[in-house]
Amino acid sequence: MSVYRIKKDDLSLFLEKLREDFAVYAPVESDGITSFAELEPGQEPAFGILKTQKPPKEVFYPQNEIMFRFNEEGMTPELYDGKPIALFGVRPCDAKGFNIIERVFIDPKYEDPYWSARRKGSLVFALACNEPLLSCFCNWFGGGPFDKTGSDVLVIDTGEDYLFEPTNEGAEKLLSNIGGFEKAEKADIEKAGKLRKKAESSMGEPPKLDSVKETLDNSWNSPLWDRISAKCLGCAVCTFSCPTCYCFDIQDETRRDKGTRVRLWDTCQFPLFTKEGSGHNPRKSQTSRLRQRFMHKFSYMVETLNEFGCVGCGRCVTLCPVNLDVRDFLEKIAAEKDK
Amino acid sequence: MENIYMPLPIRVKNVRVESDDKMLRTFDFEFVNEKDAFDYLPGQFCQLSIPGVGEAPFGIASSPTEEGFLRFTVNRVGVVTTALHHLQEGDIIGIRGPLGNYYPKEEFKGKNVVIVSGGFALTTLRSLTVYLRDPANRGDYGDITLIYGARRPGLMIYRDELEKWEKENDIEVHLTIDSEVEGWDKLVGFVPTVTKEISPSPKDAWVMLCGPPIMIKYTLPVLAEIGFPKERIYTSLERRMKCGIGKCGRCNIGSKYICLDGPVFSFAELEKIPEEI
Repeated sequence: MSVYRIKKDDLSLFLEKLREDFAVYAPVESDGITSFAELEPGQEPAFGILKTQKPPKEVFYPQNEIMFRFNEEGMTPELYDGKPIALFGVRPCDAKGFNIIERVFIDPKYEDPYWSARRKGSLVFALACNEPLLSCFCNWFGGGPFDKTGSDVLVIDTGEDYLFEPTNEGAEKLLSNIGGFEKAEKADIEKAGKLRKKAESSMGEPPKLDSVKETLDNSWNSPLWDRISAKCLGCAVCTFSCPTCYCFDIQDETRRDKGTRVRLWDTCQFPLFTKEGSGHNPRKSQTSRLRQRFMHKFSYMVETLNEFGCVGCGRCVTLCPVNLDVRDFLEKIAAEKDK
Repeated sequence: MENIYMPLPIRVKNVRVESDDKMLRTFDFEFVNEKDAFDYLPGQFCQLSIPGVGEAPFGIASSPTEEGFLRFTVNRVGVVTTALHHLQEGDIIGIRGPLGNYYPKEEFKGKNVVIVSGGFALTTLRSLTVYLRDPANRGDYGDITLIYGARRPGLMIYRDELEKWEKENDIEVHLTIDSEVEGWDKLVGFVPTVTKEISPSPKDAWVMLCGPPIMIKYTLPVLAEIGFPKERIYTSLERRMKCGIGKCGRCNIGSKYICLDGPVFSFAELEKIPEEI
């Protein structure tokens, strides 16, 4: 695959052309909240943001979406049928997150049509992170600030230019169809290499997490859970802001004789999540709910998907109102082995 | 692509009140469109769906050997179950299924089967019993023993049928209630106690155990004492569910989703899962 170069000033033109065939989503700021939204004609993405507060998973898996409309005649599914979706400026951690969450929505037995309707035919332009934040820890899970997992094109900001590095032939062909690119020169590639090295080394050495699953599996009754959950408010910002959290609720909303069946992000951190009709709740305490979140990401998903359910984006670290840092937790667990 | 969330229309064929407290009702449904009819196996469940109210999971109480209807017994506890209780003959609702796994009928082929149940958990075990006793399958299995208990006679579900089975000679039926009631001439005592008294032989036998958590808790040690290994004791679990297909994330115990990996598990499998069942 070749690497292509485009002047920064020409990016708007590229995005305009991309918009002809795609619904283009990029980071934007609205009312103080940063998230991914569809670009209006002429709207510039907010590239000053390294990490949007809301993860881009909502582009493929909206926070709330109508699944069906119903009336006395019956139910009619409502599936996305707009233009294929292109995401521009996704960070490598979030791009990797799409691949993880997709394995839940499309498993060997059942395919989720709502996820697929948006996801199929989509394009992910990941923007490499030249300056990872202090809360970033993608390298703990095999990712990196220039990692290409989950992206069709890795975009690198080299100062005056953007380099576009397609990861598959379809993406490369699309770039040549849209045009406006030059082939990157050796100097550009070298510059990108330097930026990459700098970004990667700024993140430091990750701890070894090989033993985490085993340690967790043997720590079900550990006093550790009470200790770390003591300050947890159960606000669930960690799950809503997580690029690999996928749990949802389904609710019917009615108005007179019409209505909709909607699906909404839900969270294992709320007691109602598992509370049964009888009043019985298998996860009665915040301790048990926090344990569920950590066990799910660092033990269960390792078992079911053979990878950690965390991409190290650090949103839960920065947004947690009580500074519950998943990295502290993982380091503690990883250190258990040496004891 | 098939929309796995799309409920198919079913019509209420008949309804009957199943318990004297009127909290349990049994519904027989038929498909509005014959082409929608699906194959299923004892132990599987469905999502019953009422537009405007919602969906909830229920074990299938009919057996695939019984053609022409799908049976569910519904305990009235919440919004969906209350709406279901208001259904009348001819009403149309939606169904998604069949979902989940089933009792491991292949594994205990040629063996004896002991079915232990309490309260209204008999539903999918009724399905299994009818299935095993079907002339096409009966020869494939050894002795069938059913131990079933309810708090009082009025809470005993499928009672007419059970009393019919009592008279049959290809199944041994033991019915029990918690405490003496005038006019009750069958067993009295909790299911674990009765199971111990009967002590079905563990030789070449498998147990399907389903009931309230407290019953399971006290019956398991009894079965162990009699000599049943955990690998041969199966149960069916329940959890709050939304999707029923392993996506919505709420019915897990440990790394297993009850909707996808279950609802039927052996106690040998459950032993490896730390979370309470």
